[in-house]
Amino acid sequence: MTTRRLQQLAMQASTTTRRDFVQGLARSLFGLSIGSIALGNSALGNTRPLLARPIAVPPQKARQVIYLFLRGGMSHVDTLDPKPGSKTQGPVEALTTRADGVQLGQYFPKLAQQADKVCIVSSMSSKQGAHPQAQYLMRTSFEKRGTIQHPSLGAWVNHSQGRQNPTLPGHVILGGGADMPTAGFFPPSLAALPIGDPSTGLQNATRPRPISAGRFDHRLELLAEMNREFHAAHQERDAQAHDEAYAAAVRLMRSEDLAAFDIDRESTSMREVYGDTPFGAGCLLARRLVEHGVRFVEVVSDGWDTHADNFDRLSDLTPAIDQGLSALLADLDGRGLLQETLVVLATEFGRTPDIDQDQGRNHYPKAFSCLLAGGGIRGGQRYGRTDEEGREVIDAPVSIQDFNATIAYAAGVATDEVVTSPSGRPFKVADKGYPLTELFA
Amino acid sequence: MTLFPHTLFAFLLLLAPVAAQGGEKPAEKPVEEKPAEEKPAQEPETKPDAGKGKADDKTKKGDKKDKVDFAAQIQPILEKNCVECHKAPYTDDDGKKRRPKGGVILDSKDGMTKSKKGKLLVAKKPDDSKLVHSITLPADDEDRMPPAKKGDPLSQDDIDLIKKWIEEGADFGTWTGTEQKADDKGGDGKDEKGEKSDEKSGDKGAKDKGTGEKGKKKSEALADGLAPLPEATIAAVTDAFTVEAIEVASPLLRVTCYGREGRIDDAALAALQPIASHVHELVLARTQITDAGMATIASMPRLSHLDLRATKIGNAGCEELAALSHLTSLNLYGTKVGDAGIAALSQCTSLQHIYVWQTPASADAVVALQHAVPSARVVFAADLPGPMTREQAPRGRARR
Repeated sequence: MTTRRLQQLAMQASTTTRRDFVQGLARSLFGLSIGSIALGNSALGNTRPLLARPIAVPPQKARQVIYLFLRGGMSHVDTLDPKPGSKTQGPVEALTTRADGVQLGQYFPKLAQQADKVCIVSSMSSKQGAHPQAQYLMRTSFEKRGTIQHPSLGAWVNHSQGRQNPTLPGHVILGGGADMPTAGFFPPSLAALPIGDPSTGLQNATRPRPISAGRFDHRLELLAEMNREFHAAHQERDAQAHDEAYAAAVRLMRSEDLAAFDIDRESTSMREVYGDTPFGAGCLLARRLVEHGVRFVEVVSDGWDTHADNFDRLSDLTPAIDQGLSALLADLDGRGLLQETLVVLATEFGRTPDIDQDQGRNHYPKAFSCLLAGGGIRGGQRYGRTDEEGREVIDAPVSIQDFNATIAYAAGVATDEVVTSPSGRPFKVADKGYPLTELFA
Repeated sequence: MTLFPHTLFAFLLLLAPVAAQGGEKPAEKPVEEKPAEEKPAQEPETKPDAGKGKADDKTKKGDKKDKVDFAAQIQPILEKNCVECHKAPYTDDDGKKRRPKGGVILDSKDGMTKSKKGKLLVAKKPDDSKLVHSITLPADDEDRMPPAKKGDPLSQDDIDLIKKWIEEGADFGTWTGTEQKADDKGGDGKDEKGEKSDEKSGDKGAKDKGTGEKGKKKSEALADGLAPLPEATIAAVTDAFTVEAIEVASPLLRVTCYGREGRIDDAALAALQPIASHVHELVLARTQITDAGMATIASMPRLSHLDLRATKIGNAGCEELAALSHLTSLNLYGTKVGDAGIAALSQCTSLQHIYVWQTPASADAVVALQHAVPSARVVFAADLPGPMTREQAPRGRARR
């Protein structure tokens, strides 16, 4: 049977129902990672090899990472790095927290109660002040180029550590919308599973009711039959990835862990604790996913580009973060998961200490703040310092690469391991970044 | 509620004799893990005979004459090719602070054996030693050492000599090299943190460096003298469980079963018996196991982390766990363990983390346990924030 004949057969075989179903699947599960089964090493799962490798593998404290990304650039002076009494502070007051010497902006009263669990890195510094480029840099450690797509941190962690749960994707992004980080030059199987609205969970992931299990299997067999000759003739990465995405989707459909995506299974009181906001729902779903062994979950919050009415905007934006992050830290700790789960709060740059005529603050990569908690990080500390107006880093500057190297280190990724892209270029997880090992307990 | 370093220190001391008596070490053990007393402070040429205690290969071999002498043969190679860039931090003539390239320090024994940059030297395993890896890469590899711009590759003779020296155990003799200064702080300290502590006192170093290092030292002590399990033994259980080494080259295992919790019951758990001696971390959260399965777990002598979150374990099962003498972390979140089970844990003084939120246990029992095991952090409740107030509730653009 020729390939052409098979293609004709495929066209005849497709029905509207099947097509709709497959398209729905593809939409929901695009880039869904493939596990051990298709790779033929189901015995050991997709895990770290047992044998020694001649590279530095740090002690993995964080089995999972929850990466909270505030897209748009969070004002450091108003949030994690307040400068009480300074002319750059504006109307925002500083809160004392449960950790000695760590103050927060007034918008974070609940986080202040969890400050003994967090490490604020207040000496972040970069040179990239444009959103897409800075977001790309934050997520990949590399400057955006035309010639190559770099993998996101989540893809690296999964590449290095493999998946813990063979039926769930190892990398999930909640509320990401457009402009998502990608698997870069890694196989598409390491790309994140995107979930637009955390409160509705994973869509189109169950078998449509009119299709019986037997018919569904029969269709999959038919598909495999039609693909066989094509795959034999075209052993390409993209073709394989397509096949793997199908296999992974089917595995997820049959997973007993599909319930992990359903936050309706949480009590009303627990949902209230996380806050009835998209970010809160994202944090709650992230907790459910790490409970099921998902390696890397990213929750995105938008709207932080506060060029005008900075203070009004922050009053609107911050309660969801204060609530969601505080609930996440406390809940993970109570469940004994904070020890093994690194929680990161990141943003692409800070905002100008000077307040402009629109009561706004503008892009400011020179000094900004991020936050780390759990996963072996020593809580209740502030790392690095900016000057008294929040303009310059005056102690222990941390590059974006250093910050990402620290996340990678916590997750057990060797920061000096060189991975060669298919085009033959060498890359490390955080480029030339060096992990801040002193942040760990 | 915080950890008490001295208690742990005492515990490590208790483990120390076990480590010393461990007998033969797994071959891939890196040199830094050797107890200090195995490196007699004599000249390499006048090495004591095998009568001198420990059964180390170097003393067994006897033919000392052919043995590579670090100070005479290896150090000059390093000095000539490497040390210019890879020496301990120093201040140069212009008062400028110089730090080792890539954080790799090759002018001291500590720098080489305790590098934060990975296992530069793995005794008897040149192929696993990063140092050898770096000098044997192809000339056009950007990680090849010395870099093409800085110097010529090492000669094959030199490389062979270094390999031979590592094969023979990477013995430094009496050489220790440049003293490490502890004057670095903050960002500068990150390269040298590992090298600061006195290498003669692993325990002391662990005490200085906090819980992370302590945990590591402990797992190393537990692994001492333990041969890795045959792959086939592990492969027999990997249908139901995911099994991985806790860290590279460790014989100890981490066992999880994510995605298969529905079919892990007591019988499935019993299948772990053949690897029980090597299990260090065991995650059984949300599985179907019951108290009857705890007998299997109680037979895991090296178990340190046990996660029984959201299982049906009750008092009877918990009482069996008290026999685990190396248990440091026990997660009983959402189990049926009540006061009797909690009381039984008070014998388990190795515990550092105990999670009992969402169990029937009473506050009184938890307080009693905290008193009995003061070094442990007992988490009885989550410090959850109150719900959002009406005025905090999101409006319009905040929802975006």
